[in-house]
Amino acid sequence: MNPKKLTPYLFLSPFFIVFAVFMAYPIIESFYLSFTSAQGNQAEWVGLENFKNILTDGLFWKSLYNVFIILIVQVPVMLILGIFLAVLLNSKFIKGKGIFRLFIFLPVLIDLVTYSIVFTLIFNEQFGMMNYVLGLFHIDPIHWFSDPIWSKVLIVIAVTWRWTGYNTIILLAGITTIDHSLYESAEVDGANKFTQFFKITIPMLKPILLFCGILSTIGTIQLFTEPSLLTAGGPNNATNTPIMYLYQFGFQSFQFGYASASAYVITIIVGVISFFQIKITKGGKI
Amino acid sequence: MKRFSVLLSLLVVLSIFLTACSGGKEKDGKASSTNETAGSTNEKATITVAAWNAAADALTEQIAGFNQKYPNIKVEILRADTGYTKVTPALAAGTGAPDVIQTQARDFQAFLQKFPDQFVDITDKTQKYKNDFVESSWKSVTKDNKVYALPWDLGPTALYYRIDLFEKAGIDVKSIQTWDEYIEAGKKLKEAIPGTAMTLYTDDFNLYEIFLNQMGGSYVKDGKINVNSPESKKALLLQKKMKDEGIAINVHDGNGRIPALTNDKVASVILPVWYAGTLSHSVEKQAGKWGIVPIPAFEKGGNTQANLGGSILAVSKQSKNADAAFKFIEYVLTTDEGQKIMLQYGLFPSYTPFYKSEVFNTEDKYFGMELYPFFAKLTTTIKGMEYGPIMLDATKPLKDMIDGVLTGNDVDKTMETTAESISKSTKLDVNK
Amino acid sequence: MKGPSFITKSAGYLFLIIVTIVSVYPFYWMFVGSTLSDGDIFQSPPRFFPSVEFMNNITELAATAPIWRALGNSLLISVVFTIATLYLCAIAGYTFAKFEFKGKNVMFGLVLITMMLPHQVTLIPLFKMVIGFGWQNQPQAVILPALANAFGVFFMRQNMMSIPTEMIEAARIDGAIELSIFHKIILPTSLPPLAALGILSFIQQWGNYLWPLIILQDRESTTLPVLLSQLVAPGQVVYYGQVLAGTVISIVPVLILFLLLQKYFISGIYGGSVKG
Repeated sequence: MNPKKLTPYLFLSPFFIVFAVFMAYPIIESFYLSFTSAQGNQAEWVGLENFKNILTDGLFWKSLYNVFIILIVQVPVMLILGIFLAVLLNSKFIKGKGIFRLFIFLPVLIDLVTYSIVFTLIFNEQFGMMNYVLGLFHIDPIHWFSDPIWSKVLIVIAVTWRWTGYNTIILLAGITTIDHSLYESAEVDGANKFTQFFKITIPMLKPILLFCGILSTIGTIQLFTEPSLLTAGGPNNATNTPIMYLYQFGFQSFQFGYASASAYVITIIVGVISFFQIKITKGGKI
Repeated sequence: MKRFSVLLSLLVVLSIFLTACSGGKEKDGKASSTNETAGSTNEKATITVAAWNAAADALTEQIAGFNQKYPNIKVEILRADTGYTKVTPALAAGTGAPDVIQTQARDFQAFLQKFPDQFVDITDKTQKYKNDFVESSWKSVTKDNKVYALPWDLGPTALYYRIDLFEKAGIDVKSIQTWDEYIEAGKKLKEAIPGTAMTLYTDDFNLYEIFLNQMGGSYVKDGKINVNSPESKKALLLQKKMKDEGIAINVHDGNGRIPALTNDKVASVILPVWYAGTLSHSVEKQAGKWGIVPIPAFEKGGNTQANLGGSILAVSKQSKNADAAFKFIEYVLTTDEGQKIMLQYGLFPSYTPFYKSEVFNTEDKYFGMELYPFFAKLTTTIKGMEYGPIMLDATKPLKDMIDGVLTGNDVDKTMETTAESISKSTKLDVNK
Repeated sequence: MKGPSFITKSAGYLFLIIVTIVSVYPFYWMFVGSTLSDGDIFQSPPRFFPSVEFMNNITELAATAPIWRALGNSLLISVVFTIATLYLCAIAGYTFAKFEFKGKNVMFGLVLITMMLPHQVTLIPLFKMVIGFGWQNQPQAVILPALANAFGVFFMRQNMMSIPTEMIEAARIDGAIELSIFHKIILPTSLPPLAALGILSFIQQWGNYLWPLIILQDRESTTLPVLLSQLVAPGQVVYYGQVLAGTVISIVPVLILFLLLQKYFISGIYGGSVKG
C-alpha cells in the first residue's frame, strides 16, 4: 500500500485501539445482554421480549415525550443564549472578559449537594425565594414541583442554568478560530456588525453549532441529573426521563438485560434525530 | 504551548506528591492486599466489608476492638453508596465482591432472589442468638428457614414535635391520640402560626411505609403482591388527607428537611430513631424545644409503633475467608463493645441484651430525656413486615403510586396498576 | 471604524452582569455555607457574609475522610487523562477532518454512535474486563476506558474543519512529513479548541462519579467527588459545613486550570499571520 494512503489509518490507530478494547467490546457484550433476561447474576436468552416490553410500556413513552418537550424548548433557548454570550465575550469593547468567562462557565462545575439545596431553596413552593418575589408582584405562587407543566419549566431552567456556559465556551473557542481577515474585508465593504454576524460568524460557526446542537440533543434525551435531583421524576412522572427509566431497571432492580435493551432503543432514537440534524445541516460544512 | 506543558507537569508532580504523602501513614501493606487475599494459605486473613456512610464509620471504629480479640484477621472497610452501585457489578460478575455486604433490611430478600448463591448460609452459627434480636427483624434475613444475614439496626418511629410551637398554637400533645386528631391539631396550628405546617414528607414512600407497618400491613402476603390491600389504601388516604388539608408539606429529600426545620416551617416530623441525631446536630439551636411521643394511632387505643429502615450484614459467597467474615459480623453485632460503638453513630440495635447496658440508658442532653430506652419501648409491638423479594423492583412503582394518589388519581385504580406493574417485573401474582 | 454606542455597551454589560449573578449565586451560597457552622447554613434569609468556620470545617472533614489523598488521586487521574485524550482526539479529529480515506464514514459513524449510547449499560461488561486485568483500585482503570472519548474526537474534527486546507498543502509541497505537519502546524493553530477541550475533558473526568465509585474500591484510591458524595446519605446525619468546605476545595483546581488556559481564547491565533 502507498505509505501516503496509510497515514490516516496510522493517525487513527491509537484512538481506535483504546476504542476497540474499552468501548466496542463492552458494547457488544451489553448488546448481547439486551436479548437476555439478565437479572442479578442469572440470564436466559429471551430474544426480542425486552424490546417488546419496552415499546409497549406507557412509562417509557411518557419519558420520551417529556424529554422531547424539554428538548424543543431548552436547546434553542440555550444555544441562542450561548451564541449571544460568546459573541459578547469576543467583542472588543467588553473589559474584564476573563472574569466574565469564568463566571459564566462556573455552573457546569456545580456539585450535586449544592445544586439540589440551592434550587430547592429558591423554588420551594411554600417558602422559596422565587414565589416570594412573585408574590411581591401579586403573582400567585407557582407549583414548581407539583404541576406537570411548571415542573418541566423548572427542569428547563435548571438545565439551561447549568449548561449555557459550557456551550458558550465551546462556541467561543469556535469563534476565535474564525479567520480575522474575513471581518476586515467585510468592514472594508461597509458591512455593519449585524451583517457580519449573520454573514460571517454564523456560517463559519456552522460545524461548531452542529456539534453543540447534537451534543445538547443527546444530553437532553439522556437527561438524568436534574430530574432525579430536583423533582425525582415527578409529579406523576411528568419529568421522568428515558435514562431515569433505564437507571431504575439497571441500578435499582438489577434487570441488566432489560436496561441494556432500553439503552439501545434510546440510542436508536438519538441516532435518528442526530442523523437528520447532520443531513439538514449538510454535516456542518462551511 | 510551553507554559501549558510546564503547568501540566506541575500538576502531575503535585498530584503525585499529594497521593504519596497522605498515603504514607496508612499504606502498610494495603496496596498489596488483593494479592494477599488471593494467595492466603496461612491462618492470617484479610476481609473487606462494604457499608455506607455513618455505618462505615462505625465499622471502621470497630476494627481496633475486633483485632484485640482476633489479631490475625485484618479488616478493611469499603465505602459503598446507599444505592448498591458499588457492590452489584461484583455480585453480577461473580468476581470482585467484598467479603461482607450491608443492605437495607427491606431489600435483602430481593438480593437473595436476584443473586442466589451469592450469600453464605449462617443458620447454624446464628441459632444461639435467636432470642437476642427483636423478633420482627429476623423476617428479612430468613429465606426457606435458612438465615443469610444478621440484623443490624432498627428504625422505631416516633412523633418529634416542637414544644414551643405547639404551646404557641395552644395544642396539647397529649390530646393527640389518633391521626385524625393530629390533622385537626395541624389545622389549628396553621391558623395560629401562618406559614408553619404541622409536618413534612419527602419524594419517597417512607411515610406510607410507616403507616402500613403500623397497621400490620405488608407489601407481600403469602408470596403474593399485596400493595392493593385495605391497609395500603388507608395509608395512602391518610397521607393524601394530610397533604390536602395543607398540614403536610413536600420538602423532596433529606436536604430539604433541614431548611424547613431551621426556619420553623414545620412543627413536627414523623420519623425513626435515627432522626434524633440529625435534629441534635443540624438544628442544634433548637435544643430543649423538641419533645418525642409515640406516633398517633389509627383508632383510639390502637398500635402506636412502627418501623422504618434498618439494615443487615451478610457474608458473600465469593469470600475466601467466610469464617473470618462471620466472626467480624458476630463481634460487631452481638457484643456490648460492638453495639456501644454502633450507638455512638446513631445506629439503634436490634440486639436486645444491649438495652440493659449503661450506655444505652444515659440521658440525651438535646432532648432532655433517656432517648434510647424510650425508643426501646417502641419496639415491643412492631409488626414483622413481609417485604418479599420485590423491594428492588417496587421502589419506583411505589413512589409512583403515592405520587399518583397525592395528585388526585383514583386510589383503587392506582393501587391496581401499581400491583400489576410490580407483578410484571417480579413475576409474582397479585393478591385479589 | 466606529465603536459601538454607549447604549449597546451598557446593555452588553448589564446582560453580562445579570448572567454572572445568576451563575455565581449558588457558588457564593456554597462558599458562605462552607464558612458557617451547620446550624447557620440554612437560615432564611441566607447569610450574605462569610464567617470564620472554614478551616474548622476542613480540619474536621480531613479528620474523618482522606480528602487530601482523594484530591491527589483526582488530580493524577484527571491530568493524565486530559493530556492523553487531547493528543488522541486531536490526531483522530484532524484525520477525520482533513483526510479522505476508505471507511472514513463508517469509522466516524461508529464514533458518533457511541456518543449516543447511554454509557451506564457498558459498566458491568467493563467491570468484568477491568477486574480481569487486575486493575481494581488503580488509576489506569479510570483513565484508559475514558480515553475512548468520542466526544473529544467529534469536537476536534468540527474545529479542525475550519483550518484552511491550503495551509496543509503548502507544507506538503515543502516536503514536510505528515506527522510533523500535525505537530508543527495543526497543533499550534488549534490552541483555542485544544484549550477548550482540555478544560471540558478535565472537568468531565474531575466530576466522573459512577465508574470510579465502582472500580476504585478502597478508600485510598478513591477520587474526591466519590468521597464527598459518600458524606451525604439518606437516613444519616449530614455535616453540611464539612461537605460544602470539601466542595469548595474540589472546585479550586478547575478554577485555576480555567484561568490559566483561557488566555488561549483570543481571536486571530492564525487569522493574522496565515492568510487562507
